[in-house]
Amino acid sequence: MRTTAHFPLGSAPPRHGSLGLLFLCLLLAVCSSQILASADWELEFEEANRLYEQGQFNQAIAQYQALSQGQVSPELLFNLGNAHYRNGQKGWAIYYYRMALDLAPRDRDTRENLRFVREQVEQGFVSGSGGWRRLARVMTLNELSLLAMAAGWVLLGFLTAGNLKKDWRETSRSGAILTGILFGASALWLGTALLDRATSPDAVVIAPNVEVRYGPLEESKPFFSLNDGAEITKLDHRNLWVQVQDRHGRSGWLPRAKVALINWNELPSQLESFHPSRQNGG
Amino acid sequence: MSSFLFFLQSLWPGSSRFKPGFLFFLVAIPVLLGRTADVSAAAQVSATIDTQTLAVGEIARLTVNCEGGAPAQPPIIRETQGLSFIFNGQTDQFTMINGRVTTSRSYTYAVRPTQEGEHEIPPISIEIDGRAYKTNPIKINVVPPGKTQQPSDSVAFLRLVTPTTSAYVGESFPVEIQLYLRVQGEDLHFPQMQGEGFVYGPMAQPARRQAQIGNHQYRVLVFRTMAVPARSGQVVLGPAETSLVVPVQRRTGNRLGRDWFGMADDLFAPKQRISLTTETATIEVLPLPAENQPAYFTGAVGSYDMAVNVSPKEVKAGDPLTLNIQIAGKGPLDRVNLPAQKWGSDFASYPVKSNIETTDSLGMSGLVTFEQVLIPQSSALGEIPEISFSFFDPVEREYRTLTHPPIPITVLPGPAEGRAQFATRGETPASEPIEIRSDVAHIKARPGVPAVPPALWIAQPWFLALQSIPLALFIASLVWRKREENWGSNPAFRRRQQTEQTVIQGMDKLQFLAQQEEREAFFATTFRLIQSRLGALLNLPPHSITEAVIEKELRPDGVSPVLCDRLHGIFQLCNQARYAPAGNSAGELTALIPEIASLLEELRQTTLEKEATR
Repeated sequence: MRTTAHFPLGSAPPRHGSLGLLFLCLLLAVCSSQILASADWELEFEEANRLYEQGQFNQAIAQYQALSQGQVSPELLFNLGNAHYRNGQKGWAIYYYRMALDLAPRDRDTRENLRFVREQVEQGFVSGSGGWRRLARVMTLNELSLLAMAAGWVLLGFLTAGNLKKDWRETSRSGAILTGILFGASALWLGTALLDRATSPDAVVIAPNVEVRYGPLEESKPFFSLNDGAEITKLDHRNLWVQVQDRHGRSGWLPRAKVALINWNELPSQLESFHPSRQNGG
Repeated sequence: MSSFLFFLQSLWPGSSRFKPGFLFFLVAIPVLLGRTADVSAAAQVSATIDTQTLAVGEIARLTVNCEGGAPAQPPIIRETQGLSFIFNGQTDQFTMINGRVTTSRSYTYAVRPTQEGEHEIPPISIEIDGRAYKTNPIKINVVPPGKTQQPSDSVAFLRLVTPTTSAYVGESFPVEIQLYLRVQGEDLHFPQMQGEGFVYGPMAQPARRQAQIGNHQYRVLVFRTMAVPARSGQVVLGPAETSLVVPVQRRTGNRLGRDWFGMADDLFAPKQRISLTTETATIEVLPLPAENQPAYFTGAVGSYDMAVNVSPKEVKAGDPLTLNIQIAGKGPLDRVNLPAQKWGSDFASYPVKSNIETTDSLGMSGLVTFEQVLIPQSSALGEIPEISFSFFDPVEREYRTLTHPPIPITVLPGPAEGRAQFATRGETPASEPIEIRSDVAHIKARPGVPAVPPALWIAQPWFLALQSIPLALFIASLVWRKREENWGSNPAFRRRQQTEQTVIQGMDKLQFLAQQEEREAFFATTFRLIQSRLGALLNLPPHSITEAVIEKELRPDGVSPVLCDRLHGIFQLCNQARYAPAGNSAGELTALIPEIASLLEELRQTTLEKEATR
C-alpha cells in the first residue's frame, strides 16, 4: 500500500529532512576542505620541487618539512631524502629514504637511492640487506598483519562452518588445510619482518665525524667516531645522550642531536631538530 | 738489499753491521711465512707542504718523504728568492701490512716566506743507492702580512683559504680552515662549513705549525677538507665556523709580567667559549660542457686511469668469471661510477660491486674497484667486449674516454650453455633488469596522498581485540558442536536436559493453572513433572512411571524414606484429583506449589548424586 505524508503549509519542515540537509552540508564542507587542502598540498609540493631543481636545497628542505607537519607521503619523504643527499647530508638522506620505505617498501627508486647512498657511506659495504631480510621488507608490517589476519579469519571461518554443519565438514576441512598453510606462512612472514625490524639498526648518524664517547658526558673520553650516515642501533638514552652500537659491535654514547631515530613517533621531533639555516649547505 | 739494511738500521740505529746468518734469519722469516717482504722495490720520493697559502713571516712545514730507501745525507734544498728553508730533523717509519714491509724516512724543513707573491719550491734532488730521484715542485701563494688576518691583538681567529677561484661542477678542490691561537684553547669543535652550493668531504685531523704575526707567536691548526661544487654560477664558499673555550684575557699594565707569567694566567684565568667565523670566498663554478659529452660519461670529474683484468680466463659456458675494473686517480671518488656496459645476450651479469679506497686524508684521490661477475652463455665466445669509462678533465677542459681493448677468454662447452643465470645478490631481484646507477633517482613529481603516519596495527589494542571476534565465534561453534555430539551419544544426558526443560516450563504452567483454579489440569501437570523427574532418576521412560516404582525401585535403591513418603503423598493427591473430583481454591493450589518444587528439586539432587556414584 502506498502512503503519502501531508504537512500543512507554513508548518516546520520534517525533522529528519533537516538533519539530512545538515549532514549533506557538513559532508560537502568536509569534502571541499579536503579538496582545497589537497590542492594546497600539491602547490606547495611543486614549489618545493622547483626550489630543488634550482639547486636551493636548503629552501627545498624547509618547504618539504613544512608539508610534513602532521601528514606525510612516501613521495614527500623520498624528495626530502634527495634534497638532503644533494645538500651533502647523507645521514638525513638515509633517514628519509628508510622512512619512505616504511610506507612504500616496493618503491624501486627509494630502494635504489637508499642503496646508492649507503654504498657511498659504507664505501661499498652494505650490511643486513640480503637474504631473508629482503623478503621481510617486501611488504609493510601493516600489510603483513592484514594478510595474516585475513588468512586467520578465513581459517577460523572454515573451522566454524565445519562445526556448525555436518555436511560442510569435508569441504571446510580442505579449505582449512589450505588457509592454515597460508596463515602459517603469513604469520611466519610477519614474524620475520618483526625480527628484521627488531635487529636492524634503528638510528642514523646525521652529522660528520661524530665522536662516540665512553660515557654520556662531554668530559667522557672519545671511544671511536662515526661518519655522517652510519646506521647504528640505539641501546639506551640518558638526558641529551643516547647509547648506540655500531655494526662492529662497539657501543658508546653520542649526543642525541647527532642521531635520527627511525621511528614514526620521533618524526615530529626529527623535523623540529633540523633547521636548514643551521646546517652545512651544499 | 740496501733498503732492507736501511730498514734494519731504522730498527736498531746503533748497529750498522749485521752478521750474514742473522740477516738470513730475518729475511727467511717472512719467506717461511709465505709473505715475501717487498724490500727490493725502487725507492719513491715525494715532497709535501702543510699549507700552500701563508703570509709573509709565517712558517710552513715542508716534508720530504723517501720510501723504500734513504739518502746518506739529508737533502739540501736550494734557496729560492722569497723563501728560506731550515732543516728541522728526520723521522723513520716502518710498517708491515699483510706481510708487505714498507720503510720510509721523512725530513722536515721550516719554510719562511720573505716576499709576497707566487713562489715555487723547486724539485729537490735526492740520491739513493746511487740512483738520482727528484721530488715534485710545490707552488706557494704568499700573501702580505695582515691582509686577511684578524687584528694582531686577537687571541684566536679563523681563516678560510682556497687555492682556486674557479672550478667545474663536480670538480674537487681542497679547502683549508686555519685556526690561529695565541692562548691555550680547550674543547675545540671541528669547524663547520656553512652556506650552500658545495658538498664537503670528511675533515682530516688538523696539521700544526707556528706563525709569527706582528709581535705575537701563534700556534696554527690547519683543518683541511674537500669541496665539490654542486651547481654552477658565482657560488659563495663558507663561511666556516667553530667555537672553543679560551682563558679570559686580563688587562694588566705590566707587559713583562704578562709575558713571564702568561702560562700561569692561562691556567688560573676564568674561561669563556668564543665563536669564530671566517670570511667567505666566491668561487666561479663553471658548468660541464654539454657538447661532446661521451656516452659513457657518468659524472666523474678529475683525472683517472683504468686497469682491467679478468679471472679465470678459461671457463665453461654457464660458469661465472670475475671482471675487476680499477679506476685510480684524483677527483671526488664517490662520483666515479662504472657506466652500463654493452654485454648483450652473450653474457649474463650480476650487479656490480664497488669499493673505494682513498689514498689521502681528504678523499681527493684513490682507487675505485668495480667487481663485475659475468656468465658467458656460449662456448662460441672468445673475448670480453671492450670496456669504456669517461670523465671530464678540468685541467684539459675536455672529456676523456678510457677504453680497455677486448680481453680474450676461452669458453668451453658447459652443461648450462645457453641458459641465462641471473643471480640474486644485493637488493636487485633476479627478474629485474640490472641497472647501474650513477646518481640518485630524480625527485618525484607527484606528491602522493598525504596521510597521518600509520601506527603499527599489530601493537594496537583494537587490532588485537578484533582478532577475538572470529576466535569467539569458532569457540562458540566448537562448544555447540560438542554439546550436540554429547546430546546424540548419551540418552540419559539428553533425557536429563529434556527433563530440566520440562520442569521449568511445567512450574510456570502450575502457577497459571493454580490461579485459574483448574484443579485437574494442575494435578495432571504435577503428575507429569514427577514422572519426568523419576524417569530421569531411574533411567526409564517417563510415561512408564507409576506410584508402584516407589516401593519397587526407590526404596530398594536406598532413596530416603522421607522422600518416598512425600512422593506417596503427592501421588495420592494426584489420584484424588483424577478419581474424586472436588474443588480446591486457588490459594490451596498455590500453597502446594512450593512443596511440589521442593520435591522436584530433591529428586534432581538425588539423580545427580546417583550419577556421581555411577
